[in-house]
Amino acid sequence: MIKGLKLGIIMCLLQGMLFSVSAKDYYITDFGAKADGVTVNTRIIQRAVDFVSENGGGRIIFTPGGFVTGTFYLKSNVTLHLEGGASLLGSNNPWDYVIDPKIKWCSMIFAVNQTNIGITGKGTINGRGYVTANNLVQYIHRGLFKDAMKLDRPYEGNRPMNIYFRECTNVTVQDITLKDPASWNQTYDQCKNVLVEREIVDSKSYWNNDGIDIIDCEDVVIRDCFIDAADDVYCFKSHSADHGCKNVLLENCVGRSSANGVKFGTVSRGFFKDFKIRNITMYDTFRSAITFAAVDGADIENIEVDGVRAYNTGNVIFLRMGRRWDKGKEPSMKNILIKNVYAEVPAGKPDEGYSYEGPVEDQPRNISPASIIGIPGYRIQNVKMENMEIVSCGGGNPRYAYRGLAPADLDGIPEMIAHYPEFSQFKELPAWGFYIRHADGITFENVKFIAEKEDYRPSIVSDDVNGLNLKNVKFEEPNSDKKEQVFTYKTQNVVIE
Amino acid sequence: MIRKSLLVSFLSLLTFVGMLSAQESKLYTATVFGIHSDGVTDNTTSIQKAIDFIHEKGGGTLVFYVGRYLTGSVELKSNVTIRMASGAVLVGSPLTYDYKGVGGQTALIYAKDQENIGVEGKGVLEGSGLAIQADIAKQVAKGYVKNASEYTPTLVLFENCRNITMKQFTSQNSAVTAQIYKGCENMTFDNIYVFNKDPKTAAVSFSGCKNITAKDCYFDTPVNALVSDGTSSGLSFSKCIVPSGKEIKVEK
Amino acid sequence: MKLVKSLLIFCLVAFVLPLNAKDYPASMFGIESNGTTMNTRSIQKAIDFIHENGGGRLVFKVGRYVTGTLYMKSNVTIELGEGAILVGSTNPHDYDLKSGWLALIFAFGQENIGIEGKGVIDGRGRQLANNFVAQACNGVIKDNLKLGRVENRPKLIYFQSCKNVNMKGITVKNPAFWTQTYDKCENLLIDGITVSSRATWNNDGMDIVDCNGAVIQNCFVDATDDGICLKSHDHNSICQNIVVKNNTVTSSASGIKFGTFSKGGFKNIKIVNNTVYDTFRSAITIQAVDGGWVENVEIDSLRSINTGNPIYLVLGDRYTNGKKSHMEKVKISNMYAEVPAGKPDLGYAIEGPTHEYQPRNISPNGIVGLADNKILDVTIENCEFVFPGGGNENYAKVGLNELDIVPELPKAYPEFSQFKELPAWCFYVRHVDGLTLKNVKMTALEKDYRPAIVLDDVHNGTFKKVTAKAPAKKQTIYVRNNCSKIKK
Repeated sequence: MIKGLKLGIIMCLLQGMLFSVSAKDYYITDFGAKADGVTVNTRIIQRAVDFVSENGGGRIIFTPGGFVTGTFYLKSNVTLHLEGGASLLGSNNPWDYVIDPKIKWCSMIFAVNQTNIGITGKGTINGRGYVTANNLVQYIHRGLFKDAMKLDRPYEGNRPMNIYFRECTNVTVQDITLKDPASWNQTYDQCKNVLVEREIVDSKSYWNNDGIDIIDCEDVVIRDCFIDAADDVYCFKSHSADHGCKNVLLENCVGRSSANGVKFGTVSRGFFKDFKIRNITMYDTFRSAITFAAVDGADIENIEVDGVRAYNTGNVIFLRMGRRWDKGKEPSMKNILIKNVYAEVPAGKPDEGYSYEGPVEDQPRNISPASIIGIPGYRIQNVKMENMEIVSCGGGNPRYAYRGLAPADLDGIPEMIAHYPEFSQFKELPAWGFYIRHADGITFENVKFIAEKEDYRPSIVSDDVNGLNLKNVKFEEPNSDKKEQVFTYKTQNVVIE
Repeated sequence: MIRKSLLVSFLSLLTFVGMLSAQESKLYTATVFGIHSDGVTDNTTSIQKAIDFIHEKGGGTLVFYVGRYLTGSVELKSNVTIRMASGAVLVGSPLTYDYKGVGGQTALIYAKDQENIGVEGKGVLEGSGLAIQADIAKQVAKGYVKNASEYTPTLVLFENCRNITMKQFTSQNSAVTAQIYKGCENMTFDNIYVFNKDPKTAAVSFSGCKNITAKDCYFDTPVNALVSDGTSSGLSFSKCIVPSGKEIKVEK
Repeated sequence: MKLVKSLLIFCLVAFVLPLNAKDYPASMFGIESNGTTMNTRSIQKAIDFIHENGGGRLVFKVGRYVTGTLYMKSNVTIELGEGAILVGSTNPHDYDLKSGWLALIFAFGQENIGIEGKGVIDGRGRQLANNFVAQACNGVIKDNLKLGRVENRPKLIYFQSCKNVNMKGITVKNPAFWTQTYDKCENLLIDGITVSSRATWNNDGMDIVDCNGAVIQNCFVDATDDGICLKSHDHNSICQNIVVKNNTVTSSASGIKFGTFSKGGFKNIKIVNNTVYDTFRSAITIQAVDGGWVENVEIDSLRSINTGNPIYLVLGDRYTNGKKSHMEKVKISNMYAEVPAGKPDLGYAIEGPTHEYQPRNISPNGIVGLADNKILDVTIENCEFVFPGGGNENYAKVGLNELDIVPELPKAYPEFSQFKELPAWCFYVRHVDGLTLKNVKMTALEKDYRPAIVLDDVHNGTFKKVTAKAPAKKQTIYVRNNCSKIKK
């Protein structure tokens, strides 16, 4: 696994070096582009990309100013270089964008089946998606564009993202700032050898503003990024049952989200394998700091998370199996190591005041615990948590919401096998620290759970678990001297040291 | 009460959509498609969307009311007529790569293999001829364009189209011959005005066309108004004059 | 002693004034300058509060103050300091419909009101007008989208039946409709304001409707529609005792206009020392087409540069309600005008309509009455007109032997170009009784097939020192045989 990672990194570096040596520079203004914030430069940029690609490749340089554009396609051996102060501004006219006939999604910058492409420089790509999305809504109401307007918004695939690269090899995205698309920010779909580094994403302009989406990619490095997004931040997906995400390094990254921090899923059909995630910080996160979901038949395997700081996050860890759209493919999740974690879960809403705040839902419930929840027949296997400290607000009040420890209570927790997975989906859960169900081989080592206020629930509840090892696990809760903090139900092979 | 007002707005929405799709005259107002008359908004994709929409709905007339509508190339499709009402100006973009076309010629409005199409109304097609030529010259100088003529747009270019009606409107300042027709059949020109001062270009060109009727036209161009290579047949011109008052003569 | 006395008076005045005009800072009422907070209710509260507490000035300092419809109240002045912008909401539903109009700032029957200072009122009209269209398309706003626009859109200012109105120094810009209307007001002063209204269609610069006593001076007006416009909406009212002086106007319609609505009429109006440039239609046009009475209008020292038409006086019979439109005693003196061959407002956002009323060669000045209702006593004195000439009879022609093909258009919307081709290059005069041209110099820069002046059904005409210069010398004045008592 490590070997593959190294290889990927070397390839990325090599590719970057090759680029800087051979690249010829072209200025977009020489093609007639205007940085006046008004002229729609789509056709000029497309012409420039085509010309540079046909003439041996190189960098297209955007000098400071605002270049308005609609959809264009990046081609092999072309790098867009946005100088500091240069902005690619998304046109506010929805008709200026293309829904790619093959991909069926909409984007400002597409690349399909290209090699050696990139976007670099300290400039900005600003989708200006709020206005574009609202303009699209008007056209839908006029009957000019077909959309079901589910949740009173256009389908996310009909709204332009900033970047969508599909089946591309050797992709480099460096230093740029991404802002405010009408849908997701950047999608890398079935790409190989992807490097995203030193990127800033500031994106709270409309629904579904994901930070970065890696779909079915192999050999991916994401590092030194800062992402503040309305929806999921570092999001890995698998849209194809035959593909998956493999050999991924995510390191030294910071995120803020009104959804999840690091996420596998929601669409999770193929696999997620050989991940190394290290030194990440998540703050003001409405949902989970880390969530791995295998709900559409995915195999999740060999994942190492080392070094997580999560401040003011709604939930720390959520591992979840399910059977939503798997068409018979059977899901699995195993060999997961999560270590060196410090997390604080507040009583209030972590993303309060941000634009496009997450929706308050699944009430009534007291503060939800971290959880590992498989389904009958599909168990989450071999998860180890090491060196963790989780500070929770505690304070669970049974008169507000209650889930007791009696068999009827615990069996009454719904399985929700075909549901959209979210840490809060079960409403009230019977633990304040960790809830584990349908799992094998769960280990906690050097873990401390702290509740700031007295809670009616124990810290850890296990249900249908085979193999639960607690080594040096400590609990702090006010007025709880004689309280039993670990409650097991239908659990075998429990070792507490 | 709320429910009632919701119902009312829903009904009026239905009425509106009904107006769009089922009106007998099938007139579509440009504004509805987000086409702006302010002279600065690039309307290319919006006008194309409007043409496609009307074409898919079985045809009709896209009406531009008074104002200046900036655009690059748009492709006209069967059963769609563009009406430039009095005071409406379709303004050609001054940017080289905003133009597309067919057969190695670009145009503001082009069509290939379409039928029942036309342009009408007392408005104007403005070619921005000097500006677009200047931009193309720059691209040639940079080496990004090799052959300027492949990029220099006409105003109207129809190839292999049938049943064409062009009436009343004015074409002005085209960078090349204002209107070019190749292999078209059944064409009517009625009260067409062409003004080309700069650059020096002709008014109308035909090749391989059949059945052309033109009347009451006025062509104010610095070179021969009509360009015809002798491959067209069934030309009938009446009262089509140039500034000197002379009538245009055509081959039989 | 005298000094002491005047000092005493000064002190008294200084003491009394602040009492009458107390200043209230906007922040006191929680009005926010951030450009996003909707301040409608807090600004309204401020106006009401100041009104109820004896009056004063509501002072806005630098910042962007977003608001919907407001209502001015007696004895309240809004002071917009340098850098302060009162910003109109772009939401159509933030505007009230009152008395048939939408507006950002209303006043009805109030006294001693005003808006002053170096600040700005910005209507954000293009976005607002687009949002109106969207709402009409969705069926929420009822409108048939004639010409692709929603018909009734918000003005910036609509004051009705107010007394002692002061508008000084401010910039008003980019409304979604007309910029400012003063309807049936008395004692109105508009002094030194800048109008910058190129946002969208129907951006009139200022509309003075049926007012009695108004001074409009030292203003700069740049508008897509008519610049300074006097109107009469009411058959029983009249626009009178008005002075328009030292203003500069540019427009994609007419510069200074009386009409189009001209139901009651216009009386005792002085237009002095104004400049109109880059203007699509007429520099000065007086239109009595709706039964109104026009009398005693004096236009002195008007400069008309790069303007489509210098003078157009017209009678009509449109919405006359049984009355007869009337125009007498119009005097135009010391005017200088240059008319271009091309389009005067080319390149402005929202240009006037290209190729309207074609085919026609360059149109002349027009003084056009009706066959049974003549314009009376028009004097044109010490004036110079430079026309491009170049009329080509193969493009459009009205011969001197076919003057009757010029249509009579009593019911039409009046515009200098409405007749299409006219048979003269400088003055076309029809149905007029009493016309004096004295010391008038006319120049055509290129050969024109038409004479300089054509008189058709004109009586009691006096022409002194009237000269025409053109590349091909033709007769200067053609007098049709239905004229009488013409002295040349």
